[in-house]
Amino acid sequence: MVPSLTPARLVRLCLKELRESLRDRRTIVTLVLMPLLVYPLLSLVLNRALLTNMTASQPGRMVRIGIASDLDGPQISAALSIGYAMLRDRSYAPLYLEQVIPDKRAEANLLDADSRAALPFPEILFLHDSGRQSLRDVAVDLLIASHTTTDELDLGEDDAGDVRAEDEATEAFDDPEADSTSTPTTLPLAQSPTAGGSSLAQLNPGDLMKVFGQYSVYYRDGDPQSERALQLLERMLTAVNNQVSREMIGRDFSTPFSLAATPVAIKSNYADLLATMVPLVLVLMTMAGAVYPAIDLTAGERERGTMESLIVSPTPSAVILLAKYSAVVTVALLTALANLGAMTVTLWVSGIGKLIFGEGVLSAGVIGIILLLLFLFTMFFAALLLAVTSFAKSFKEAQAYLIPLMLLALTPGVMSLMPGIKFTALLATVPLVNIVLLAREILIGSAEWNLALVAIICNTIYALAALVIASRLFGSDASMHGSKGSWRDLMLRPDKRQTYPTVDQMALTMAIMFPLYFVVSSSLPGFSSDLGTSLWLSAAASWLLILGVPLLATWYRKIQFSTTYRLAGPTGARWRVLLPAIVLIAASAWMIAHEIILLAQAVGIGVIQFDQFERVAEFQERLKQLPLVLVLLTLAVTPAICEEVLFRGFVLSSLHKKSTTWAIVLSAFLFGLMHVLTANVLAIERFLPTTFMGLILGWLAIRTASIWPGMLLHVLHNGLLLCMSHYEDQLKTWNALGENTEHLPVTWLVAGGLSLAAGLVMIKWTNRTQPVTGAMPLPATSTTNSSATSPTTGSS
Amino acid sequence: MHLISGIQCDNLIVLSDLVKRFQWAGETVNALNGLSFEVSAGEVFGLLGPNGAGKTTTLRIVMGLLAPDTGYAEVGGMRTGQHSSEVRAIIGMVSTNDGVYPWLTVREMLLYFADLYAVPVDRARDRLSTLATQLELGRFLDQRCSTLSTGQRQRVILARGLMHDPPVMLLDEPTRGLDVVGSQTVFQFIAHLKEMGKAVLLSTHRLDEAERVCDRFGLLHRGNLMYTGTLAEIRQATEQKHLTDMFLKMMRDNEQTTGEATWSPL
Repeated sequence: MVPSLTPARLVRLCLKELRESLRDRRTIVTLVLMPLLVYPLLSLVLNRALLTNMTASQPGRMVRIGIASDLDGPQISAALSIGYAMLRDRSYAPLYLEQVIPDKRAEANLLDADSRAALPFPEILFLHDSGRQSLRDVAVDLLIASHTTTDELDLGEDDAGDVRAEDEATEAFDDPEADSTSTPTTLPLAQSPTAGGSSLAQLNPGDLMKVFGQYSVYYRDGDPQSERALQLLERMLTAVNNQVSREMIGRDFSTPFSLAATPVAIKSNYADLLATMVPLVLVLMTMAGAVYPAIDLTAGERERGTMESLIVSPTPSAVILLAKYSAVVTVALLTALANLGAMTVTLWVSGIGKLIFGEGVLSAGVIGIILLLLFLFTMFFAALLLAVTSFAKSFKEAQAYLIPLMLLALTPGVMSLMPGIKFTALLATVPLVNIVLLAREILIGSAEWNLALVAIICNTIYALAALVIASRLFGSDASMHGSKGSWRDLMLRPDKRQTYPTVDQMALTMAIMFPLYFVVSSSLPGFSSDLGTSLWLSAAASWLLILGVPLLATWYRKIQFSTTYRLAGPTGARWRVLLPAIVLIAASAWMIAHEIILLAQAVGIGVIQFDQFERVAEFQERLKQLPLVLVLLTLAVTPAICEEVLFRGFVLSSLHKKSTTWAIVLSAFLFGLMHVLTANVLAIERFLPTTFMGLILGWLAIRTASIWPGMLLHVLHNGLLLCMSHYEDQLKTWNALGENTEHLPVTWLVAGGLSLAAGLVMIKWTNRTQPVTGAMPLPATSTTNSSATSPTTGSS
Repeated sequence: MHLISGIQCDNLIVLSDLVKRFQWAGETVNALNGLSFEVSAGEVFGLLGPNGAGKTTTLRIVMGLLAPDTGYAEVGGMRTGQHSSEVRAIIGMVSTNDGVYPWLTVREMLLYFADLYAVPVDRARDRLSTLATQLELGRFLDQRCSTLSTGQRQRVILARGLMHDPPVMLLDEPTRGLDVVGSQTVFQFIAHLKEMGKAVLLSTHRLDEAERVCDRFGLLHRGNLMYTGTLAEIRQATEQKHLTDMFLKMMRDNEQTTGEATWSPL
């Protein structure tokens, strides 16, 4: 009696593992105590690092106001000193203010004795450049950046104009290249107002009038010193305004000085480093959370002497391992959650988060995404841990294996802290680094979805491969029946031949092939700008990796080639039905694929961006310049052979033992996924049509028990599309082709649908009965079809 | 009630001409040399022999954890290597080295093993209360396993092997490390298993206890089954009254035949 695995039983099996882990004191320490201790300590260190960089918050330091080089510094400074003197000597402003702008009274009455002592006249710095770097570097607390004269303001500009000007200013501020070379040189000129007070009379009214107008000022958001500087500036200018209004009465200066203040989310120099450190610390803590349960649930079973009783139970050891895996993932996730919570609270309470990421970036959404990334990493790392610890016979042995593993993990972790390291295609395939860097990109708000998806897929593949290895190793030395188990059997060349590849061999092969292929294919455009050469190079990459890796695996593991790749061809008689059927499918499948793309776009999946559309159009233009033979060889024949061998050969054969339907669906899914990522851009729109083709090709391979019909169909399908693109201009002059974004004519679609159905029915039917040539089920369809495709076939 | 219904065979365990060799340090060691015996329902078979005689290897082959080089083992009429999960489902195995989960309570651990053997939840609860009465576990059923004494632990392990009510029990040195009272409980329980009609294969070196509880014996020495049969039959063959004497005679005889000078207990 083989016990059936009900979900409820699986859950109970998982619960035992979880219970065992969570009751262990050592798990609780990493889960609860560590985050409680680590983050407050970390925040102390970070605070110090940030404060040495951002001395602004130190009380007692003089407020520094910087004036950009293209402004009239001395005049502005003179005006400010007058304003300060007005504020200090309360005899001036209030009287007038009470009459004219009573609501401003409170504001004008700002400086009482205490705050006067607390707020000395600011240091005014005449900067040698735009001053942005100075504001960032805390050389100044407030930057007076630009000036719009009253005349300019009066030139019919309304509020909208101001807003635009402000936006431009902000943009200019954020432009990283604008000040990349500027040196924050400053010229200090502290011109304290004289004790006797100041009056506009000391100044030349003409000069003063030149500096009237609106000033764009920038202050550091969240920095109290900077905000104080802004307040002070506002008060001083209000005071000046009052005085101007008083002394120059009768002149039309409603507001001589006005301010447009823009907060700037300043990232300190440490911001990038910290944005990397946050996910790195989280990843490392999550790792720490997973390590103990992983050892305890595998090597621990051995040490307690419970392993054998698990192995002798009729429940397969892979199921028991799965329960352990889910428990390790859960504990690690709880650790991640505890750490993320502690970190968020720490960053929030200490105000560091605001300084690193600016306002609102560390939102619930971002935290959620980071948790998802940690989950993804945990999926991989837990499987890796279990693979290592399943191999160990005792706790000590497991720890001895894990120390090098942790050091190995730390190296890329520290590498990701290096300044200026970019999230590249290569790094997107490196475990741990891809998660840390992706999290960094998300934290600083510049994630690229293409690479993000690569990182996600790579992690998933690695996790699966590690899990497959772990389930082989788990309990392997307790059970020595047959040759199953142990590293030896997994890695070395076996003695026995096998008919089909196993799922774990497939997972391992894909885990090796996929990242390699992605890295190689995305680095190819750098080698040559010539399209012809690039095409040959990418074809070579396909031959080497997509074809080479599975073939090598098949040879090395002594898997039979003829069965795995279905090398036996259909008989000559069967070909007579297969051939027309394949032509029918090839001639019509692209129409269905085209409609699938449009349908998907209608629901919002894979909408092609305009620039991407342009790029594709440009690529097609360049393709047209090349000889058609080259294009067909590299883009039709090569992928047809390589991809059929991989997907309809190796992958399909490894899966089809359990269920053919699922094998076809899964191989088609992988086929589709691979095509989304082959190009340098994320071609989501290719997923559905490619998967659709994968379904047809997989079904064809199973139906005909041969790889050759599918290969032929693949060549014809790709070839037809390339020919249509090559002769696009001619086709258009004959009015045979619409725009790419248009639906095909209904008659075409009907013909295509019927032709596809006819082809499929014919193939289904050749397998049942011996083929009788000439008995086409739908002769009418094939005529319609041939007329529809005649321009293409005729010209090629 | 047995988990397997309709097993149409008298002998629940059949071993036929088992040969197992190990490669160890470049040498071939004959662990089993053509071992054959049967155990039927309601019978306790004692597999006796000194350390390294091949007792554990035999049990592991019966369990399906090891494949014999030649010969075969059948449990409930099924070859152990071929129907491993079916065979495992009808065997309960208790070994000396078995441990418990320190962080789980006795109840949790026993129910976990019921789940491993896919025993339905309500049936598992019934089995738990039955076994708790039979093995007197009630007092510490909700105690963590780390708090148990050696004797309590051994009873829990026995109960663990019986949660799925298997028709075949394999007991590997179940009394090692137990005091007199502890072993007494275990052997009483083995007698009880016999009454319940289970086929019990017991490996032990406690000859005195084995003499009382086993119906038939197999005297194993260096992979050779020297004598098999009931106590009376072996008495006749060896002309010795007690199992201990038979044992010693067997070892002496074996050494004379192989001509090896090894440690002699005399």
